[in-house]
Amino acid sequence: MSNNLLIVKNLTKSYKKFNNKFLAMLNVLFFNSLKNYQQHTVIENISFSLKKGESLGIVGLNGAGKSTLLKIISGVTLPTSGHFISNGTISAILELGIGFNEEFTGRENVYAAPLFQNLSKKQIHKLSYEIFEFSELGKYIDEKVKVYSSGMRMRLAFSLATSVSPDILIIDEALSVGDAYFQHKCLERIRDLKEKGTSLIIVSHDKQVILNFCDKAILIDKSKQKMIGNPIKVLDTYNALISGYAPESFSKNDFITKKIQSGSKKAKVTNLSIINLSSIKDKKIYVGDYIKIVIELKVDEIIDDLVVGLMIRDKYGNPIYGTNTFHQNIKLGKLKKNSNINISFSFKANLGPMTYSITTGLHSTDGHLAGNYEWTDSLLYFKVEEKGNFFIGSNFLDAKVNIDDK
Amino acid sequence: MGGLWSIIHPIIMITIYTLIFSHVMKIKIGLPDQEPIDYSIYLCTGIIFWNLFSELSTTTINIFYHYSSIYKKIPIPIPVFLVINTINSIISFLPIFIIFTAYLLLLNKFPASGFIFIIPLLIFQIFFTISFASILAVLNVFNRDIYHFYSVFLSLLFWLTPIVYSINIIPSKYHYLLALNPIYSFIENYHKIIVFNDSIDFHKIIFIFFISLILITIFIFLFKRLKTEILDNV
Repeated sequence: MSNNLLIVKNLTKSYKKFNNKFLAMLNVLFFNSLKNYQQHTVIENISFSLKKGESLGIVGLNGAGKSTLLKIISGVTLPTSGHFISNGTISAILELGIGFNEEFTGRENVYAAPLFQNLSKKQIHKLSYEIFEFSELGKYIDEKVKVYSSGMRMRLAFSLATSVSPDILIIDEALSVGDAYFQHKCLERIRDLKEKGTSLIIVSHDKQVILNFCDKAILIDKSKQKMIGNPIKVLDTYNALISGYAPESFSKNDFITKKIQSGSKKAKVTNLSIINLSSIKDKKIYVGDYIKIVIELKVDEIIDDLVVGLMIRDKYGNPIYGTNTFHQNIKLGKLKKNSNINISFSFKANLGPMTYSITTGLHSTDGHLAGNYEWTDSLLYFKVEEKGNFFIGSNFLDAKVNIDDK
Repeated sequence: MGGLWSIIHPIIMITIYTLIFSHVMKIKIGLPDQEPIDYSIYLCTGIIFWNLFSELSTTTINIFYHYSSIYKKIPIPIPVFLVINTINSIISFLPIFIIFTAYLLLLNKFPASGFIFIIPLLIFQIFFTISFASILAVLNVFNRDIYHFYSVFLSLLFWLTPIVYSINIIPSKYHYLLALNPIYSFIENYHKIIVFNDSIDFHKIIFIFFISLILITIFIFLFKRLKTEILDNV
């Protein structure tokens, strides 16, 4: 037990919500014993432990509950159930601030920092000098904090929170605000602290930060602790989560973004799947793999002239490639009511490493506006990964490079 | 000018009440041989202590919102802010009180015999103010209308308290209603000490002190039960 710096056990946080203000006030008068509230759970049963010097990364989509977890550990929010024990000092940079007084100057805020309450004047003086140096705020250190930009606040907050080596340093997204130069400086400082034995708890969307600094990672998805362990494995699962599929399956049931659908629904896509023809075993798609996209569809009414189209977009929504059965000179013929057909598009995935979305269109003649049966944007996401040859861009042109003349 | 304002403001206030009110509004306050200056002292006494009450109660009601930017970033026990806020109120009250005392000395109206009793009265007044305002502060977390409602109520209460006028203008059959106004119990005693050179009626004050004790116990209990909810809702 004694070598555990932080033990978090079954931490759950839920917010009570009353239908109106008066019920909430009545609840006060009844000493918080009213029961007719709605409960909104933000994190559920989070458990982990941290040994001295060990660092933890927390990943998850926006709204998963990462920040709430950090707030509880740093003590500014109380958990609904569960508990945590920490055997060391905690310094936290939460949402770009550590409680600055807006009316005070940067310098005054540093001198009045609660972090320094147990230190002597001399020590504070020495530390504050280091803080001013490190933050490089120049003359702004004597301006009121309310005129600071978010980057400047972050500079001061980071410099202050890391000035004494805490046992645990909590960093919530703070690094993403600073400019490139200061980010480097921060990372260096973090590395320094880590070497001195500080445990880090980092929330970041920057994969590299997690991989570089953390000994383990937690993936929080929809308030629950989905995975804990090796950062590489956790990040893989996280990536799969953002690209819309879990590594085990390619089924369309796993996508996360809301699809945008239109059309008369005379014909419907019932399933969409991707098969990697280059390697059946490996569920990943690498640059240059042969893949087959299979559209399974169902016709609800008799249709004479069905055209099935497919479009691939990159993550910014730019169309990368699109075609349909009409342009490919494939006639589907007269389709009976309640018939099922599968259409597949096979191609070499000469795409850059990125996530792509698939849009499907079922319509009558060429040009989908004439008779739109079903049009679904972003029905499925897939990710193309780099294999060996590094290149940039969304097209793998497979250039051959020669020295033609000397 | 910063701190200078806390001196300028009471000086202007006392000057206005002395020059204008005591001459324009010839209100009999019940002294047998009343000089014009006596009404000015009466008025200043009431207003100074009323202002402390009004300022401390309104800031206390808003306390959870006012300090939220600090305790939502650093783990600090919230009741600390109740103390800080009270000390702030006392600090801004002191210059006014000292200037007023100097003014009394200058006019040779300094109530040497009873003056010392102002201190326990003040302590009881502050304690009473915090005790009920802190309960309203908890309610205010869940409905911010409480704060605005209280501000309106306070301006009404000001005119229901004999500060500008004298109790003599109220028919004596209604005097018992004034007993329902706890802040008047304090103002009445300050008047007795400073204006009338009368002895203090401590009965009501002790009664209010017990009420305050009950209220503060309720607040402590409320806060313990609702700490999480307060943090979540601010």
